[in-house]
Amino acid sequence: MIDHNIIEECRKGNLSYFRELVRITSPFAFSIAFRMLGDEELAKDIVQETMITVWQKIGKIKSANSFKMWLYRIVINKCYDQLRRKKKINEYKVDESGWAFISNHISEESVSEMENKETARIINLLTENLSPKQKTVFVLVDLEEMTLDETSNITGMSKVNVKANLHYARERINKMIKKYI
Amino acid sequence: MKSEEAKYDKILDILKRSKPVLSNSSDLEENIMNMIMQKQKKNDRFFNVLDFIFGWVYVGWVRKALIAASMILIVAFTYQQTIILKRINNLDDRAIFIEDQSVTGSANDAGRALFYRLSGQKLPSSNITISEKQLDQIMNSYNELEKKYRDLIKLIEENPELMNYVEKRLDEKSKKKFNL
Repeated sequence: MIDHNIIEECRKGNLSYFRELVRITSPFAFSIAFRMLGDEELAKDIVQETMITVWQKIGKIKSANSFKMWLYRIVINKCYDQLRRKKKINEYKVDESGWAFISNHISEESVSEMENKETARIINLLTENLSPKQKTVFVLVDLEEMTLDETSNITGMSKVNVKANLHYARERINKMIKKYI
Repeated sequence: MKSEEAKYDKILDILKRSKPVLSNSSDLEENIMNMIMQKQKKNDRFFNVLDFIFGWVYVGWVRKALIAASMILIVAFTYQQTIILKRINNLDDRAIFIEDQSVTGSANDAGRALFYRLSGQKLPSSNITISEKQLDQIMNSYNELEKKYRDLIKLIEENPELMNYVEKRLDEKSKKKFNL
């Protein structure tokens, strides 16, 4: 939970409080950016850009209550731009060893935590065929466990649109699972 | 179908548990703060200059109005200077240069050459720069003067009384001049 006092001080231009805000919020921002992009370095760049935007525009937010949603919105927008750029360059290639890696993991009895690299590999494989919108909704609802209202608020999509995108995202991932695992 | 859903749920469970870990968070924090400070410094330099110039004004809106007015004046001044420079360059292109014994530049027509021949006197060694328009004016005045002189001579020659009178006056003048 972010202390309102910190946000108010940052709005006044207090840099030492902003350092504190960066320390608290960077992990959230990184988590979303990493799950969206599946690349640690790229996610760190997004966090940097996000924090600079936050510093430049924090005076414009109406209240400290809406800060977290506003921060997520900035991260999502930056990731969204990055995904659209990436989509133009990349073409889908089937990574057989990657699917074998997932298969091994889910066949294990106990669920163990993975390192960033492994997590990125699985997310990239599952979401390769998803559109940026579908990927955003999948990450926010299924991985970050946000509600439909929160997701709608962050992405600017209507609730119906969020549901539809989530449905298609799950359907596509299930097809991939059926095909490769 | 159920097995696919179970697999999907299992994969989601794995991914949810595997929270991305932000390594070297202090470096990232430091980078962010440095970037912000650099941007801040750039902005500060600009505002420091403004504060130095308009620091004596304490009313906010007056200060803003003064800054806006000064910006407008600077833009207007620059615009004016550009126009003046352009016109000077334009005039410079039109001007011809008359040197000691030769006419150079764009003075290549017969009228101007005649003017130089008729002027008779030696021009000073330094260059004289006149525009084509001024040269045309001088040529017109000279032609007009020459025409009037011819008319006057003709008038005197046609009238014997007037001719005698002029000759007489000229004789008197020459006697006075040489103290005869």
